[in-house]
Amino acid sequence: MIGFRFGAARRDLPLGHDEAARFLPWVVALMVYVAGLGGIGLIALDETVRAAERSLATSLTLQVPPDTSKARMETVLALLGQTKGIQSANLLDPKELARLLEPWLGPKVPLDELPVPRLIDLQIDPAGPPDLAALRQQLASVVPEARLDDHRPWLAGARAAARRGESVLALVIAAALGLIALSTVFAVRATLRAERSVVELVHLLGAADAAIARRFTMRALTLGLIGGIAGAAAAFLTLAALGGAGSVVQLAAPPGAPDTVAGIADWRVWGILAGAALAAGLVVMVSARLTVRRWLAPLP
Amino acid sequence: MAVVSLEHIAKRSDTGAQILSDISLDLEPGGFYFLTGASGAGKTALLRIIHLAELPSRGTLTLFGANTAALDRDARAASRRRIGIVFQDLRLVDTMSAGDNVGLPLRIAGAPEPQIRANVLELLAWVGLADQAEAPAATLSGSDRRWLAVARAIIHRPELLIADEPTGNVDDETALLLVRAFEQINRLGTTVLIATSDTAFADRFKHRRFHLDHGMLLSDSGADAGPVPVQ
Repeated sequence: MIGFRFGAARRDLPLGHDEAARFLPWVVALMVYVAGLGGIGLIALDETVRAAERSLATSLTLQVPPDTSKARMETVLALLGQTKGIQSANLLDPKELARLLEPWLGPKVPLDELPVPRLIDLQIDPAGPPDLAALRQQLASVVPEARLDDHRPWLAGARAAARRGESVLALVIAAALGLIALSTVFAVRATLRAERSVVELVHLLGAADAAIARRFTMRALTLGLIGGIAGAAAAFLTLAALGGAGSVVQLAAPPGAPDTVAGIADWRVWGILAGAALAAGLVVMVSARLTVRRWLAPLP
Repeated sequence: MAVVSLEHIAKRSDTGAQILSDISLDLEPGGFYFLTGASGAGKTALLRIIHLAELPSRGTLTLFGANTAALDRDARAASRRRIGIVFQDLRLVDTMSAGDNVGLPLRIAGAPEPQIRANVLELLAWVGLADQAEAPAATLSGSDRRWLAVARAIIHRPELLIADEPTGNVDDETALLLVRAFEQINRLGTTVLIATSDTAFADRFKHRRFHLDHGMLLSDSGADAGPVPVQ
């Protein structure tokens, strides 16, 4: 370890004593902020799609015209009850239907006067789902206007859209880490240029490349971690300020916790923020090391 | 076994100019040598090759018994740590204290801090700079800076000491004191090679002398020179 400890003029091998190195923690903080929020966005998107899959993959909705007679309705329910793969069929009563439609139509719309179809919520067995084509044929023979809504095609589209979103977020994270590496390379090169005579002297006096690189690497790691922790803290505060990630990223609240702390109480949020800070530190460290070794290579 | 053995060493500049031509010589353990020649004769280039600061264009350099062409970077660094060097331009780090400058080779070698401190203070006292340990190198006089460079070159008890024009730009008395200091180090077993353009000054001492002229080793001389080692 090369260090200087004599007297008032003591100093270390420099990194952080020039503008470029002072700028480094700020760049790292900004990139970790972006990458941290991007990472949380990734798990939020994944969580949303999984939740939708869980709730929609096992349910179907049957729409029956409002003027369907009670006898036909009972026939339909009996048919559904006998169909293999359908675990339950629940005819929504008008009050429940009104509650579902209220967010869309408002509280003052008289549903009695509108031709709102009757809805039957079907829970299907995911292990052995019903033959939907055959079921549609049978239903058509009883109520020709009945419509069986299968959510699964929509779900496949949502899943594909989510995957595209995840790819974009992953690219954002990769770009952030790339920018951290690039900033480190420029900062270290600037320092090496500024301190060329000292580094060459240390080399000529017999310091091994690894020992010289270690000085820069440790300093860079410190700067990277300072920036990384600051960026992660800023991302955390952003999540908290937005009222908890639960409302932002659709994470489930832990049992007994209020919704507002759902996101920040999720261990994955902490993991991603800590991981982003550590990853930034590692990227800075490796970039600094490679830059110094590459710079030293032409020296005999 | 010679400490340094040069066989047919040649060096060309990037522009193709011949700096050194077919240099062959041996530096024996415990020897004291002057390397003389006019400015531009190739003295510094030869010292830089011996110090592994530059690669020869041709020829073989054997240092401490090892062919340097076969050494990897870590081994070359390790060989440099066995050499003490006084650069022509001294190369002190002006922003560092005198003590930190002198202690640099020991820190590079990974010596423990108490040992570094003790050795630095002892050596600074030896060169008459005991009260300057904490002074920034930039504040020292030209003569003190030269002694500081000498102290830095010998603090780690090198097996080979190279000094490039250490007596240049100093008065005669200081130059004499410097050579006497190098002779004391030499008596402890260190091989010493001093480059100087002042041939008359070198002739005042009974040490073997190699003379370079336009990159060629012409002769060696000295009261105890023995046979001319030009091969």
